[in-house]
Amino acid sequence: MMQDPGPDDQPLLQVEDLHVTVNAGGARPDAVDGISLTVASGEAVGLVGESGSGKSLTLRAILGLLPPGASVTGGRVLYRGTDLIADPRSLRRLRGTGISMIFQEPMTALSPVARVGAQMIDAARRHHGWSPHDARRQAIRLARQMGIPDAEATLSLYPHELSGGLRQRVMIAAALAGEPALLLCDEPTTALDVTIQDQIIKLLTRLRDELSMSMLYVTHDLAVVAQLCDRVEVMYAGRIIESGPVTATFSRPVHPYTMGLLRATPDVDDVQGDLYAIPGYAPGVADRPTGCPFHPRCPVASPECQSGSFPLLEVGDGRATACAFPERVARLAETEVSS
Amino acid sequence: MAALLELNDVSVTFRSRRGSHEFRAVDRVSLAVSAGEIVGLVGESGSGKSSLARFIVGLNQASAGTAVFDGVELPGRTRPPELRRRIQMVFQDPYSSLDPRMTIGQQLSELLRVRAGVPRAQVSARARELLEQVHLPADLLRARPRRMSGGQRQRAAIAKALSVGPDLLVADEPVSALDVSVQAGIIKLFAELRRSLGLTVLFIAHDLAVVRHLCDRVAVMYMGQIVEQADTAELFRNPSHPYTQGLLAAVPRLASRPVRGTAVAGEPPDLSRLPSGCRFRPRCPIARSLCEQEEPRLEAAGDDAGHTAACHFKRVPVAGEAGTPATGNGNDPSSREVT
Amino acid sequence: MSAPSLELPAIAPAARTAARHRRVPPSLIAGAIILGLIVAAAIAAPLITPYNPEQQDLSHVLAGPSAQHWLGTDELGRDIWSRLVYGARTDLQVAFIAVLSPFALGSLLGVLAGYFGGWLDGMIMRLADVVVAFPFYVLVILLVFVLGPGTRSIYIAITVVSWVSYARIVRGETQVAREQEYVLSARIAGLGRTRIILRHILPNVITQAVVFAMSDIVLDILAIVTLGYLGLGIPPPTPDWGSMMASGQEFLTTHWELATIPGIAVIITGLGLSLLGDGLADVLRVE
Repeated sequence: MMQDPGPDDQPLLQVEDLHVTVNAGGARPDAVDGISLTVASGEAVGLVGESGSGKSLTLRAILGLLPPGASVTGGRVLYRGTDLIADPRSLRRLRGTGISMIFQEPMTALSPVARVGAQMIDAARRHHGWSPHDARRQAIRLARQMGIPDAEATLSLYPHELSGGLRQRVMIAAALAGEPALLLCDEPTTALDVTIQDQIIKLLTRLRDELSMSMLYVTHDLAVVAQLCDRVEVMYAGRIIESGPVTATFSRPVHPYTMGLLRATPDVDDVQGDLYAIPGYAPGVADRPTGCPFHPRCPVASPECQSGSFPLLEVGDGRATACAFPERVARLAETEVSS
Repeated sequence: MAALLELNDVSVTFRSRRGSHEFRAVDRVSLAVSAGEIVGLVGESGSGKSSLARFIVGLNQASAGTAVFDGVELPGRTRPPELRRRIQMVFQDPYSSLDPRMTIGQQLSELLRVRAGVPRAQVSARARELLEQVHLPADLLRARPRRMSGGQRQRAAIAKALSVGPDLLVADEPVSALDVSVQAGIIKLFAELRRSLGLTVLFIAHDLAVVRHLCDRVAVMYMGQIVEQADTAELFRNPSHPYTQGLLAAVPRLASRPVRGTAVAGEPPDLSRLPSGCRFRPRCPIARSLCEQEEPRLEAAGDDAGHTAACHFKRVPVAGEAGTPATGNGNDPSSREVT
Repeated sequence: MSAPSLELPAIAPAARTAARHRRVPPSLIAGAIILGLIVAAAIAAPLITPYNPEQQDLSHVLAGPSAQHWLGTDELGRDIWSRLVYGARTDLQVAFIAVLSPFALGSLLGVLAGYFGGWLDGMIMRLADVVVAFPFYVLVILLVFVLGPGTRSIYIAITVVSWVSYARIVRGETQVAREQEYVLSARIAGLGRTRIILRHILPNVITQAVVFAMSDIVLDILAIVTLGYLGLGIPPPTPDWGSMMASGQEFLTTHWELATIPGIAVIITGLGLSLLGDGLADVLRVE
């Protein structure tokens, strides 16, 4: 894993110390509290966290699509070296063709009054200046690539006439029509049936290979990250608390929160003892604890964890943790296995 | 053990919004739930599992079939209050299952006074007891739902359901809207309530992993019918219906393990267009001409006495699975269906 | 909080304060100030007006603003400022009362139609369709004309016409609310219909009707003023903005302020009410 890419080996996306505040003006802490992450060319990065962790805000901040009341209050978002926060015009140019985004609920991302074929290639058509005839051909090609059955007929339907899975495919097609280098995904499979989720995951995996596209994938589901991503960033209370390659992180986590999440995820292949429930609840933005934000729920916390700062520190092999006592996590893993 | 709830050929019919054609959301379902058992009901959206749940609690009427609860046949139309009280429901969305304008205490004490007949003087003590039972702090009695996290709300909703003293709790996807870290806590709560109160639970889920961790028995629904039913361990060890196998294969895994079977392909079914013969045929990887001609019935399958599946070719290794035959004596040809 | 606790945390104190200090929407403040001033003036009318609004003084007809008559006098020598303030008294009072009965009737019919559906819903909504088939003003004017001028007729006419909006709003909200899981679980628990409707549905659906009532008062004031202008409103000599505008109209070319001043009063009152309605909608929304 490259830690410090040289100038020719610039990462595709680099987020540096990003801060997002919701309801600016009040004395509320940042909902996104200093996030740094990189997505290399061709890489798929999973951004995992629970509700209120700030994962979706991070994703939206990258594309300048923050909800009303939320604003970026610090940090940089570099896309091939250009700061998208400082230069919103370049961001507008990049949307759809450089960076695209897919959402959890395609029904809200698609216009209800336009046929899906037109919506799918609208952005790309403008970008490439295709004639209506070319556009239609491209749309059919794209629809087939997305595994949309009976492409020609489906393209002349309206979104409400499609099933959830098909709508999601249409939205992905629309996002990919401009052949973006980076696809931002905001829980695109969360609302779907397991069977359809599986199909969409396979589709995204295939498309990523075919188009050599990078992905930043936000989800609460660790298993989806395991299927799709190379690297994972785990968020808690507005910060990244663990970062590393998926396989290593999921087999030997170095933050107690990651370990807790993994143990709380039920395994369909195996029932080994009890499911672990992380005690308590994730804190809201207004009531984040001092010190390590996870300490009130942490099984290995000690008094040192209640104050001070807990930055993300590298621990080798491209991994990093915000836990000051990763050796305790390792010990915890051993005790649990032996018991 | 006598069944607490016994459904015999229950159908629930809906009329389409416009036009007069009817479709059967639940089609001749027979299911027995014994006292103290936790039975899982799984399937995709549109499988009829929620319609069946709503029938059991009295929100839908059956168009055919009978349901016997604790020796008493459930009446078709209005259900006497005493019978209603004994079957309660917990819903998926913890955000809409509590009245937003009332405190938790008000909501509990209303049910306790009006429905459980608790004397006024004991209401507050009983409300505290209920919160304790679901592991919520007593000071939440004064809280309104909007100040509470999803996990807290779901626990409060369970407390409400328990307040009237039910024997059977129908839980419709009670954890699928919750964060992973609190999911496990709710799953454990159901197991605990069964132990401490002798509660019987019908647990509806689309998540097979959750079902595997909680339920004693599982019924798999497809297009309004139960297609397979078995004890949990047997079902996961020896899934006999290709739909069950496909659902299992579609579940995303944390670790990369070889997965048996092919994930279900295609879109969820449209109830208004029933295929001839076996309903799963259009999506089935092993369908043959017999499946087109004849509807399979639920018949004994697998090793266990209670294991049934509705497939003409149950137990035949699924394409792509040739290297991993079903475990145990699952391939015993003598038990194979030869119609 | 000292030791790290593994118990389930109650709502953190921070969250409570944050919620309590939820910002009051500026539109609510602005609306409340505007309307508050008008209402205060109407209540304190005898204290802040130097003349009896009905007292004529034919020696000072159509006088311009002066130290004695701040806004001048009308064609009968009556003090315009006094008439304006007393007019606010009449019009606001009539409008507030006029909004109550359609609010109550409409909300009741709406919640019944929405909750029970079926033939009851069909009947109530067909009735509503009949009412809206006529333009608002046409029906109001027609009814007042038939019933004879006066406040009683105004109340009846406005009730007959504007219950429909409340019924439609509340019916729609009720249809959503009755499928909410907290209502379903109340039904499953076996709570009675009356209790479910009164305790669990009405409090959650009525807010939209309350917000609408704010803008409806504006409409009612306009209706009352229009009726007054047409000579069907509050009978003279009771001061009322509508009749002030009507009588001032004759002098529009020479004394434009006679008709304009009450007009401005109507606009400012309307603005105050709609700001208040907007702000109220924000406050009443349960997130």
